[in-house]
Amino acid sequence: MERRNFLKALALGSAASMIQWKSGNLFAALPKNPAQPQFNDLVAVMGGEPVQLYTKAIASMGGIGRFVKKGQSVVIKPNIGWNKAPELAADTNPLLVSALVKDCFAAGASEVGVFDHTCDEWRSCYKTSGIEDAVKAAGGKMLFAHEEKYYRQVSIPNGKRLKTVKVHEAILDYDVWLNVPILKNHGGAKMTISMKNNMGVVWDRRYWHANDLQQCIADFATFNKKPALNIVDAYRIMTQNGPQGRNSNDVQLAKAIFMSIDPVAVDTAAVAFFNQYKTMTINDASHIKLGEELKVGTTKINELKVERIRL
Amino acid sequence: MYKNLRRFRIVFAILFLIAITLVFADINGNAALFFKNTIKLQFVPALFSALAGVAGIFFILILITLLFGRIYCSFLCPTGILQDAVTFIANIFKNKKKRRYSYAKPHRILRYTIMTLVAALLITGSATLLLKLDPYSNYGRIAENIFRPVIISANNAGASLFPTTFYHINYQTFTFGSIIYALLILIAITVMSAMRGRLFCNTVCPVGSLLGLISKYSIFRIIIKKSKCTHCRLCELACKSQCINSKNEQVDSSRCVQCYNCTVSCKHNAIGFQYAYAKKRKQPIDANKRKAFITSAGILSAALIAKIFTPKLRTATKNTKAIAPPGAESIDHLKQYCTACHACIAKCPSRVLRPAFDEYGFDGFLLPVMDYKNGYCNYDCTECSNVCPNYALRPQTQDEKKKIQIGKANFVEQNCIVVLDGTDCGACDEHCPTKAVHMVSFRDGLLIPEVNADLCVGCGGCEYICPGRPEKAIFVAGNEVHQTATLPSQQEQEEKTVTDFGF
Repeated sequence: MERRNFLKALALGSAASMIQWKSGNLFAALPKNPAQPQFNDLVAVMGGEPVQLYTKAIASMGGIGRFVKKGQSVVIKPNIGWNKAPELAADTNPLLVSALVKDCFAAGASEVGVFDHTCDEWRSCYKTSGIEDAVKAAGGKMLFAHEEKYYRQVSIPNGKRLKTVKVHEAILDYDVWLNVPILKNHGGAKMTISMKNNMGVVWDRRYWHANDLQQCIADFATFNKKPALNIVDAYRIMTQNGPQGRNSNDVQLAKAIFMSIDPVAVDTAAVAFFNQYKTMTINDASHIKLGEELKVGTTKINELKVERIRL
Repeated sequence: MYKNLRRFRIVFAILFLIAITLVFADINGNAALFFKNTIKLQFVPALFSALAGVAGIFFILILITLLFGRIYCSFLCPTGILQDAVTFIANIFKNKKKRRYSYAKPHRILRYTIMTLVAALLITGSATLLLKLDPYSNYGRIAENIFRPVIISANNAGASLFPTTFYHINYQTFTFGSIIYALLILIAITVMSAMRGRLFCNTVCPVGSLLGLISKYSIFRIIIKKSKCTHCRLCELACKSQCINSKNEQVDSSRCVQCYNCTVSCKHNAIGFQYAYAKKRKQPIDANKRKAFITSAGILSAALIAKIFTPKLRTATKNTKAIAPPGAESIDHLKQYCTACHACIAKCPSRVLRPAFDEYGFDGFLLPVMDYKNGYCNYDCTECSNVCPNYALRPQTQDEKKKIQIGKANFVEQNCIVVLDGTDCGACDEHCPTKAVHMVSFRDGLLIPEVNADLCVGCGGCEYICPGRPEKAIFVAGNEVHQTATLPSQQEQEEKTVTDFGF
């Protein structure tokens, strides 16, 4: 734990204990833990426009304030891998990213940074995806991620194949990390959702490809800093020729969104949803089950508190 | 009047040099975009563009030369302006006596031999000599290979001081030989101009020689008025082309670069523009005519000789796997029309273009070549072909470019991770914009890449990302003559409406 966070926790803890000590006498009849209501584990919303979907889903997750506290810095990691327009569903929907940035500021975020280690040339990706303009208009900033110097080496003690990896400095330095993938099929990993999207926060992707891609994806999910929330954009989904796609024929308008703190759970749900368009199981996208084996999360979403909302 | 003309020339030249430098050295790209048409005003690009059917600028340049002489050399030529700047700076360190020039005899044989050889090779379809001497292309290479790295280093220093405002740039795509060549030319030009003014322009430069030939017949020329001249030699001492002979009252208009320094130096208004075809003209006409005749005969015979030898050179350099950029049409076409100014290399956002060393054979030294070590060609990008002022890369729309196959991907199964380790990879498929590289069933639920060469555009995405070690499992071999790629089939899928969550 960082010193700053430790001090914060200490201050909050002592304040809380003082309050409890004072209020103990006055409100002795109240339940033990009033600040901890039962939140949903997994939320799925369908049938709306990107901003509507987001607003509904985040409310159902307990509001952005559950994840972003006043004064915290937030880093958002959408998928901006390709030099493609939003209609081609290769990159996360800019309207969703924009709504999220605004929401973070509304919750009191001190700063909001957005980046991806892109596949295509980074400046054209940032521009063509519409994400740079959306983020800047919402008051956030785009972070540089195209050079090795922006990445720092960390260790993955619980990784099987991936033991050390260079991670983008913003992931390490910012208080809150929000993972915002788009739902796509993928020639290598079979599916790219929240776990696969994390490949864009590391420097050397070739190493993953060369050392059991599926295992490396699962390994990285065990990294001690985790996304505070995974938001799967399924407004437009890419059902074939992913992750880059060739043209608009590869895209289906699905108008959905999925959210969970648990990347395995949200990926499991998203695959099940995707399966209605194109046959796909979590056994094919084997990194999801490998993640469960490493105790990153659970594929048994029926045992979770799930809310399904139709707009 | 001449004072203002000279002032205008200096201000214009400085601004123009800055603009053209930005085309090559601007790392951000906005200024480069703004000034990109300045390179189309250059003589050699205008000539090639005329050969491609867009002749407007070429005719204007010729017309200006026919009217006033070598205006191009002082106003537009970046190497010329650079030399003037060097001369100016060198003069600060010289004493008054050393600053003086004096009339020098012309190096006619050297000049016109070089020009003839260049022309002869051009006629037989090779720009290899022209590209090494052309002042515009040389300046482009100096800006791209030397100034740009310096600016990048400065930017990176800035990026470490202000990490959130400036971003770090890796100067990835350089060719050692190209930097050395640019550096040698820069040093040669600097030394020559510091010592002898416009010596380069009047001995080596083929454009200077050609425009000089035309200037011999220009309508208005810098001429000494015999009635006013006192033979004080001030004009001669000021002439950086060393083309004024004050004693004989002669100005060699084939070497005069229209700098107007002489006109300002004269105390008696005895030197300046005059209509050159006034009746009383007395000139050694026959000498000029004879030279013109000899020159054209020389060009023709050299062309014949070159015609015999170039095919032999060509066959010696066949079978290259080097990949020429989209729009080049073929390696031969590139060798014929490209003068290696490196505007395309400066412009490439993915930095996949770099100067060739011997990839195209020795006569392809410095030409742009695709290199997928540090990047790959973006499917939607047409920057290189649209910046090329020579039509060596023909301008392409996005749709046209997507049909150009510059090379084909080759898959080497025994190097593939999927075969070697039995694990998923698919990095190549992921990066393929056309799905020429696609995944097919291998064993145990694993997928392995397969190449449909008809769909391949040769962008190199697969080769760049392939993690195969020590050898890549997929690489692009260039097409010597570019071919047409089949456009990916539309692979229609029905629009599906799903009303359930599926879980």
